[in-house]
Amino acid sequence: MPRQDQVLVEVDNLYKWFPVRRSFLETLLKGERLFVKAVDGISFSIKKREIYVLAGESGSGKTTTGKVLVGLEKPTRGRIVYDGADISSLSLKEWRRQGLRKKIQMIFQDPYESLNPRQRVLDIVAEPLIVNRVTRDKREIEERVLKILEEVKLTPATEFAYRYPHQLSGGQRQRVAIARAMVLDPEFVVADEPVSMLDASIRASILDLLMYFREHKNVTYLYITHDLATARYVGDRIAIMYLGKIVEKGSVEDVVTNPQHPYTQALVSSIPVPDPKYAREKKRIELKGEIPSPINPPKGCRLHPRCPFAMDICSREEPPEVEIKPGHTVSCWLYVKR
Amino acid sequence: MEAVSVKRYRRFERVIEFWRAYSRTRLGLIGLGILLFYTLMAIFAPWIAPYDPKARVGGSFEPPSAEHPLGTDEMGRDILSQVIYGTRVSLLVGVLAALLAAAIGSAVGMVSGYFGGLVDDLLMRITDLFLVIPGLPFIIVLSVVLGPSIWNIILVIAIISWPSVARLVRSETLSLKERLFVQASRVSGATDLYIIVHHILPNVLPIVAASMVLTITSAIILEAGLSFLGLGDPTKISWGTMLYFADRQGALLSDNPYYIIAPGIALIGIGLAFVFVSYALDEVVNPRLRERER
Amino acid sequence: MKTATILEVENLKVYYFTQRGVVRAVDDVSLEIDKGELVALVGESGSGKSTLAYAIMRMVPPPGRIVSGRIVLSGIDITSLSEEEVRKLRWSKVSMIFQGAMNSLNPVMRVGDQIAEVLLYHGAVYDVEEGRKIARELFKLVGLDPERVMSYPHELSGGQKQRVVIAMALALNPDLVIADEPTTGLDVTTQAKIMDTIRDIQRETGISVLLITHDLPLVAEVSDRVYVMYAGKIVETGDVDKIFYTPQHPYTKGLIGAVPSHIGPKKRLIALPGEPPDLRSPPPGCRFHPRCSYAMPICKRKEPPRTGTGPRDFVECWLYAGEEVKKVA
Ligand SMILES: Nc1ncnc2c1ncn2[C@@H]1O[C@H](COP(=O)(O)OP(=O)(O)OP(=O)(O)O)[C@@H](O)[C@H]1O
Ligand SMILES: Nc1ncnc2c1ncn2[C@@H]1O[C@H](COP(=O)(O)OP(=O)(O)OP(=O)(O)O)[C@@H](O)[C@H]1O
Ligand SMILES: [Mg+2]
Ligand SMILES: [Mg+2]
Repeated sequence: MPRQDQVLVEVDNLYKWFPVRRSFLETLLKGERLFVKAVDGISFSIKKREIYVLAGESGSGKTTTGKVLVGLEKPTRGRIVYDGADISSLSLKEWRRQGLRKKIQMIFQDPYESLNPRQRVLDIVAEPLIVNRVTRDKREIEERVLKILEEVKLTPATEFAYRYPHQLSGGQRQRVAIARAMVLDPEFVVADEPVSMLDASIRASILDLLMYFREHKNVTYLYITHDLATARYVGDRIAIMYLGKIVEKGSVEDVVTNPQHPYTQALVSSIPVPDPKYAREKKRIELKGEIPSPINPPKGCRLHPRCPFAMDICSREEPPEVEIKPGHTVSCWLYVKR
Repeated sequence: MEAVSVKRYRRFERVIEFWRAYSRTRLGLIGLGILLFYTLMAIFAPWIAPYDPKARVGGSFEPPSAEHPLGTDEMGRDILSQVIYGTRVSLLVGVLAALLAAAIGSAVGMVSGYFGGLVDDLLMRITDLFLVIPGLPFIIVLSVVLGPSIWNIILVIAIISWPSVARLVRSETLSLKERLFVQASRVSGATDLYIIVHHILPNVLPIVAASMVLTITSAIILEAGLSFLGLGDPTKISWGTMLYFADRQGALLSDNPYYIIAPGIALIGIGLAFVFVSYALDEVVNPRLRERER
Repeated sequence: MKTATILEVENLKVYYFTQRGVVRAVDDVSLEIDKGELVALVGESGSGKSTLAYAIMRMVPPPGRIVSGRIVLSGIDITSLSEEEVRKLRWSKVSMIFQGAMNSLNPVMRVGDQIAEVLLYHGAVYDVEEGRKIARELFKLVGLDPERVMSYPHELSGGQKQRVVIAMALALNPDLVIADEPTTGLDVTTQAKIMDTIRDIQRETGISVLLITHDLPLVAEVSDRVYVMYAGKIVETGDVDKIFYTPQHPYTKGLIGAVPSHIGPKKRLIALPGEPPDLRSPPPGCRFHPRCSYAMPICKRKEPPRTGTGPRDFVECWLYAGEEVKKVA
């Protein structure tokens, strides 16, 4: 098998800027147009059958990245290569025509919002089959829906198929959302914080379900989360985002148990540990202040105003990406040998 | 086999749930009762009405009597029969005008809100234009131009009623299209048309229905008003045309004031009934929305 | 060395009388908190945590009602007090950081004035100016710049708003603060700072805190003792080490087994099967039995008795019931 066959998704220097809406008067007075730099030049690649984690705090640009990858938003700049083909400049129509809708799916964070309250589970899960004209046969549609409901453990399927979302618990709703994403046998699924709204006790079973589809259907995932402890259990490799940029990349085990970038260290040391004795001893690395606005991010390294190790150069120049170990890279001046 | 019965059961259960909540509002039940009464009256008019409403069956301006419970008009026609037949025209005009207004308004509102941009700007300017046109003078001019026929009245009423529906639907669509389930549908591969029909429409329908109740009321009253001004269809008996002729013939000062009182009361009754229903719908629909917010 | 008990809840029952049945949200719950303790109450969504908190504040929303039991706060049984008398105690003896409170600050009022208003309402100050002065002091205590009293809520970040809410809860110097999910919706780094603040204030002032959360790791970090709630009942209690290192109840074990950790060897996560029950018709016997892998025939028939596991610790599970209890059952 040739090497590049291994990579399914390649993101190369991707940007997504949202124009800031301002009143007419403001535009006149201030002149230049402002942008929310939600994603500001990120690169990573996802291998087939991999679970690639994108982690970071609120507002770092994770969801925006996910939406660009599933074609909900158009990139401002940069390249996305999917299975060898550049898909970054495809129009929505092209996207559908090339069958990408069937191959690329997304699971959203909030299962209370992502299901239409007026549709039954059957209609919700059947929708991808109908809109992609997989089949017109009502029987076949119903059979496929019931089968996937069994797979996501909503049993008895014939019972759940006719319920409305408000008759389901949060965990069951998320199973419906997963069934909808999986009913077309996609190759690549963006899972945007699929368990963050759920109770701790049922999170593990939802994660098991995602694993099941990787094992049995060869699904590749981009798993978006702010929870590094969970990331460690599901992910293979990880990228840590801060203010639209990736600050550290590597295998999940390396990055989470041995973080190198000051931001990653702060993040990891803030995670509560389910171990009281360890918790009492542990030292935290604290960042000063609050996350700055993505409209006017700090010059140089974006973390420098908050970083306990900031040096002169950090406020002047953007740090390069340094490989500190095969497959583990950090964008930080601390690791640049001079 | 089993699946089907479950399906029926669930659908049914929703209706029952709605009905339970609705029937807890006393005004809603009263309103519904009155409406049912009017509807039956309209449907079974030929069987209920004691006389042919257009036939001379007595002397002119006869006061109420056993033969003519509400007396007769200037041509000796039975008032009760006219009121009963008049229900047909009033309800027809009200319902059709409201349906037409709802259809136009929903289409414009959904397209405008969903696509936004230039389409939105254009459609909303047109809507605003219709909104600022002074209603009554416009109707009068239009109905003079189009000529007296109940179809024209329906059209005219729909023309002045759709803009408010469009505004309502547009603002609802604006928030709906940002909802996660619409985005999820887009990822699934749904086209804009599919999303509008399957996700936006069912979610705006309840508020359109609620607004329709009030449109029907105003349409019925407008029809009466137009007819009263002599712009109605003189060949059709409606409460409005009755009022028009009664007024022209000086019914109030005649021996039979019921000529003018009866259609007036019929009109007030149906107006109140719709207001009650709309009030009850509000009660029922709103807590539901709140429950979903959770 | 016996420290004073601040709060004692005894066999409390709080039900919601809804049109579709009685929701037994808090069903025979006992709990106590000493002076200066940080006690955690953990449980899944809908297990009745907030309801218990509302009962302690004597503000259960209708159709809910305290059905039976006692709540003794600083020696006063508040279950039998009139609404007027309770109003005096509320906020001055016990205050609460409500779930999602940071999003319900008044958007058109300066945050300092919102605190001043609480002080005025309870007669702790006589004019707004004085209230603002105290608000500044409180802001310092919770780690906010005192100048922030002049800000409006939308000018503050989520973490800052949460600090305002904490300051408000501390305004009248209560003996007990109930913090209902004080960090949900905040980023981990912010969450850690907020929890540090709460813990520091608690240590400095000797206040008692009841922390309500479904986040087990958070409990491990800050609490002294833990109550585990399941479907309206306390199923187990003990000090924090005991709960995390030697959990007894299968539910507690399950919860701990399902929680990932970023330190130590990577263990397999064991998912708890099933879903929590509908509290309108909880399963007979032990409410956890349909999800329990140790369930025995008796669990389906009879509610498990309370078995002591320490001076003030207990577990409610048939696995630990004494022989004589079992025989009677
Ligand atoms: N449609 C939009 N228009 C303008 N700004 C946007 C839009 N979508 C996102 N943003 C902004 O882009 C930034 C990144 O948002 P994004 O939702 O990608 O963050 P995230 O990492 O997913 O955060 P969270 O953990 O809160 O979900 C934020 O500052 C957000 O306000
Ligand atoms: N006003 C109410 N009317 C009827 N039932 C209610 C009401 N408030 C809460 N309940 C029910 O009481 C039970 C306990 O609710 P409560 O809010 O105390 O749970 P909780 O443990 O705080 O959950 P969460 O973690 O979601 O905040 C739930 O089953 C809930 O549905
Ligand atoms: Mg997000
Ligand atoms: Mg709660």
